[in-house]
Amino acid sequence: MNRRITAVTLNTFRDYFFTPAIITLIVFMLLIPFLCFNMSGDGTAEGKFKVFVTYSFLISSIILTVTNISLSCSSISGEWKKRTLLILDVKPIKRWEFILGKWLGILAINVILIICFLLAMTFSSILISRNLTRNFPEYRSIFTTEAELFPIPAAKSSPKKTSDFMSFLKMSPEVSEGEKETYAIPPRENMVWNFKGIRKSSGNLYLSYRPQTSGPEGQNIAGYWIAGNPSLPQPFELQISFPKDKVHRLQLPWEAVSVDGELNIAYLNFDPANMSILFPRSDFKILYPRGNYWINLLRGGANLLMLVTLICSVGIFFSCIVSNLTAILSTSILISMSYMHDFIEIMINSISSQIQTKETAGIIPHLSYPMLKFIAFFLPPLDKALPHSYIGNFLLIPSQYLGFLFIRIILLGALPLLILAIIYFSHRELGIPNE
Amino acid sequence: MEELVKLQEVTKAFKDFWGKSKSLAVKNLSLSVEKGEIFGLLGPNGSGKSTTLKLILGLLYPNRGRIAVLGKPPGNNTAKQFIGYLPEEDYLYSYLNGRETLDFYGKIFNIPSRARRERIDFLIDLLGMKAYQRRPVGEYSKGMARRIGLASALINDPDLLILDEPTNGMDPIGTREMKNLLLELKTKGKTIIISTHLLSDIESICDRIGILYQGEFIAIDKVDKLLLPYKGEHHPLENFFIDKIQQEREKRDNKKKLEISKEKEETVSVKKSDIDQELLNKLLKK
Repeated sequence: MNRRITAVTLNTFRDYFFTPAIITLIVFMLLIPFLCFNMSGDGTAEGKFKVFVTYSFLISSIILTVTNISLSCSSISGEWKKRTLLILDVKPIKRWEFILGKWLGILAINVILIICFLLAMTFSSILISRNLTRNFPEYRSIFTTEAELFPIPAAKSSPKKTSDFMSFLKMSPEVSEGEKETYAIPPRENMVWNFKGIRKSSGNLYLSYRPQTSGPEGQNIAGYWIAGNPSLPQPFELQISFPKDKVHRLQLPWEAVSVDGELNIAYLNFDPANMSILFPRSDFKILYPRGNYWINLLRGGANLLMLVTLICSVGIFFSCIVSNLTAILSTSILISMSYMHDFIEIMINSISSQIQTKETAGIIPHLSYPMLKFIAFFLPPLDKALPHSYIGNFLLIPSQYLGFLFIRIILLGALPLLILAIIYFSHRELGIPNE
Repeated sequence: MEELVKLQEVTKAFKDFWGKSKSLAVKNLSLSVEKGEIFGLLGPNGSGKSTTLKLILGLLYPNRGRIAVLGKPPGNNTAKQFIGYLPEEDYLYSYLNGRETLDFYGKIFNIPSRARRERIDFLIDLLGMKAYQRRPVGEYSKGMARRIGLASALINDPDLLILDEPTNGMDPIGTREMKNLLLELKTKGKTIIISTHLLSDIESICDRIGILYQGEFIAIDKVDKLLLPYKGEHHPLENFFIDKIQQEREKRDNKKKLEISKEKEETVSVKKSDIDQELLNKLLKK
């Protein structure tokens, strides 16, 4: 790049970047996503997503646009105020080089602000993904895999000791009960389920279930869970009591799963109140993470947000370019107008002296004199041009409007559709069956 | 000899927002500065020295007249490549240090990085700024800032150097160093236009001087020729300058008084004649 443009760009960047205002702005850009973090929207995961993205982008785009206009205008008028423009005007730098350098300098600040915002968005979206998996069960399916379930009919004779369960665990299924809607286990009876196709991963293995009984509210249910596989010499057993009608997650050891990905689970109903226990089929699952947890987070939430963020950043960047360029050009036009004023003044003086000394005849000088006077009146002299920033602001209004329009189209129109599409396709891609 | 700067009957008036003339800064000014010459532009405050320099540099446009700098109109980019300018105040970027300031202006002159580095080192040594070259310019004293301003004016090794009050705010040592530097530049064949009201600074270094008073030259010639009647005096240029300004002031004051008295005389004579006419009428009636 041209050495002069680079010099002006770096100088402008340095002039503004290390100011307390910009540093505060960077901190604010980093905080914006976190400020929008606790907005719940309409209460669904999708709503939370939408509100988070929309508000983050709306606030950041407004801040960026306002900052841009202010920085762009002051980048040139500041040089005039400090009178450094006087020195530069004597040096062999063309006006377009100076303006381009200024524009690129402000653009570089924008890029850094947007990068800060992107980083904050990425981090906060990871946090939001974690938050969503915790609070929204439907969102968990993005992160976890269900094992295939093959229930085995219960044995006719109830075992008295836990070691007797080995025989149950070693049993192969005779009748498929996969179509059953609820598994009912009477008191002192048991049931065995067989899961297949479990692939080992770095995360935890869970048994998720929602027990139901006819017992009173608040009273806990007690029983034994036994997990193992036919190749395991000794099964894992756990005596547990849990509240009724709530989803409960029981962490299981990965050792209980065979090399082929098979796992047998048995439940022995030892409820002290002698109540039958029911497990609805829809809530009875073996869950384990789909690959690495952090990669899952990125896949499930962050990457969707990142994509959206990138698209919106392009929008903001475009808006910054427009507002920045218009602001700089309008200020430059103002300065050029003042130079024009001086030129016209010279012409006026020459015509007036020609008329006075009668050097010229004809109507043209007599007509051009008032016309030039009229034009000169509307062109501010240089020392008057810059304080009249309202002219510059007037020129900036269309650019602001265009910038906001662009951002609004992206945020309010395309963005929710895009989020919906991404969520829809990500479900399909992960192959989670609809329950 | 080649004329580097030429002004022909240049007039510059400053106007207010409504376009009315506020003040006439420069009036029918003609000047030519030849190559290798040091020209001193002298005058009391508000005489139009800085305006003349700004007109030469193309920072202001004349209302009338023609200006040529290095054979080109002022503000021409090719001519700017060979001009160095030190303004009356130091307009520097306070966040850059001395070295960075010079580097910035070096880049503006499109000097390649190696040559730029060598030139910066040379100027820092020349102006004795080694000790504070890494300090931000905003922390500089007036004298230091003046030195860095001069260094940035010299970064492109200019053929024409325009200095507006170069010793402003400098200590006696700095002033002496500045004088020596200007003489050194003269030996290298550089053309210098220097504007100041510190007469002792330029008496020994200028080839020619011009004294501006209310936007007009009241004296312009070689230093020796102008100071011939003052030879042997302690401060010949200072005496000459003060005498000249006083003479001009008196001349203009007398001219003004004459104009006023003429106006008064006319009105008085009309009144007298009226009275005489009445008396005459009365007498005639009687």
